[in-house]
Amino acid sequence: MDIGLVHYLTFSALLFSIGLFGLLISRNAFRVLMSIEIMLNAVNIDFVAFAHFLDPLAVKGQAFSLFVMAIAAAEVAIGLALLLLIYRNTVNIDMESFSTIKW
Amino acid sequence: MQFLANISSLPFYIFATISVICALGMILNPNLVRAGFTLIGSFVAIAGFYFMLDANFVAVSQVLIYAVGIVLVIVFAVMLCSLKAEANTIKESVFASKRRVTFSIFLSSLVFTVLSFVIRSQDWEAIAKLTGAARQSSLVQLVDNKYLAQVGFLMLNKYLLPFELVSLLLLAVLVGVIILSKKDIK
Repeated sequence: MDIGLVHYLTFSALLFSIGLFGLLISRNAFRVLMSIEIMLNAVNIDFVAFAHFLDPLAVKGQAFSLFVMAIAAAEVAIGLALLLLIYRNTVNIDMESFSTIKW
Repeated sequence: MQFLANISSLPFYIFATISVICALGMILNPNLVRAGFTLIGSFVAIAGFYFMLDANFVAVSQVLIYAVGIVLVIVFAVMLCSLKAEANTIKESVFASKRRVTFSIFLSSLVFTVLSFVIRSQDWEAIAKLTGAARQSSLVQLVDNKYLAQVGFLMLNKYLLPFELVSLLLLAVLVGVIILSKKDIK
């Protein structure tokens, strides 16, 4: 059976659900960041697959996936800086203990 | 879809297996540094997908930015927090709450079911016909490395404004991170 668009989309949905599972199950803030990266990658696979199968002349999806990568890098940088700041103040990175930054 | 038929199916399943196993290993590994390095395997397998989809530039930037850059930054941050002493408590807290585990499994499998149902129910061949993909792909075959030139053209013409906004965002992030991680914020 040949690999088509449906295979890529289904695999991407699977990877997205795995990322969501990690996001929900983990209490460690670093693992939450990593799970978000997995989910962003799943969406990137969607973009590139759509570009390849539905829009092969002007591959807009590849440009979108590059934007997603840049924004993911920005998100990780800010998230890690905040986490290190919180760790420096409370010596704890459990998600449940971040109640001090509630407004 | 005849125009998709030139991709053999074996590499797809190999890459899919590697990336799913590595993603699950990242979630279930109690050691955070090892989890971070497991994530590299997942990202490299996804780069393999991009190569299969003729997105060479995206694949290379996937390896450069994700597999090396982002993962290494996360692992360094984990090492800065020196979580060796806390690893045991985190391991317990991942698997402690039964209700949380069942809820997570239920919600993520629900999302997967809904997504795959939607994907199956679409008529992708009609959509491909609508966008004229079959006709276009025969044109693309003529030119080698068409995609890379096309992506560069898009980034500097149609998506010039988002491109510049992303660079502005990265600058703002750079400044923000430096301010956040300074020792004394006054």
